[in-house]
Amino acid sequence: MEIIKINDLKALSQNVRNHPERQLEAMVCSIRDFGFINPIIINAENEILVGNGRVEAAKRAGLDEIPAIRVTNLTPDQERAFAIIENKLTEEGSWDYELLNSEIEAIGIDMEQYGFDNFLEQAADGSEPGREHIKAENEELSLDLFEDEEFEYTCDACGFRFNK
Amino acid sequence: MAKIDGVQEVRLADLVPYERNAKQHSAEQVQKIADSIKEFGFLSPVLIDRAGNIIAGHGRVMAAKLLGMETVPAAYVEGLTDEQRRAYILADNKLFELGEWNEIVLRQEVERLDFDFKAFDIDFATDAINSVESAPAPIVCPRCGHVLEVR
Repeated sequence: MEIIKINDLKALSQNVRNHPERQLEAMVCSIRDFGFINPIIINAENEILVGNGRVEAAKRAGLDEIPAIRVTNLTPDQERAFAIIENKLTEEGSWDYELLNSEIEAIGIDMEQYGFDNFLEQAADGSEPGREHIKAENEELSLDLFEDEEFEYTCDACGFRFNK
Repeated sequence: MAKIDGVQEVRLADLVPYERNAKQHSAEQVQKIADSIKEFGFLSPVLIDRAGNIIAGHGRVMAAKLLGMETVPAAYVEGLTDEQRRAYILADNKLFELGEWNEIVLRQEVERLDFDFKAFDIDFATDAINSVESAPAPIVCPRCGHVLEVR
């Protein structure tokens, strides 16, 4: 592992992942609170194989340098294939929502800043792990009070329900 | 703020999975991770604390065991409280999820690269191609800007 200056980093190719504003903001919160503890992967030319979003977030968090793993034994095509496969395999994990909600409730840290729904995480298919996890301390009207059928779409990223 | 001070080989037998890890790894996923390790190597180090508790990399550790590896590269994370460690285990996964594929670039890469993606039993290439060519107008969440998958 080495510590590399962010200014020395370059893009490997066009990024196969988009990094929405909401993700970058949550990454900045993570870097601010936990530090930059997950090294990015780079090649011999300082090109980023994995970690483009985190590098952008590190810049925003005001970091000048970050930890990196340098990989030098892959062909150029292998490097780009690795970038795709690493992302794809990470995506294939799934949540135990009951355990996730129980952890979010038990941890005395605001998890919403890292992209979680503090009140209720639920599966993208709409199945709910149980409404007993909803905390009633918030006086504001919650969208959960409305019937699901009243809305045409549910955002599978943030849970927001809306009509076109 | 926590930090890591280097990567070293640690024995798999000394690593302790988090017993309340909410992220699940199917046997199928672990097999694919194992295939990836065989093809590219074990590149991204497991994050652990001084007691060997896994902070990030549960799926990769399972894959390494499947491959019969005895050691894996790991980085010791210094300076997290117990509560922060539990929070980071979740956040590390969630932060990734907030990103999205650029399916146009993905299709170009898969077509262009001299690499057998099918060997990884990954069928997203054809899915991505189909969804790009026949996609109706995207539905965009007005709150967070996420593009919904139209089912």
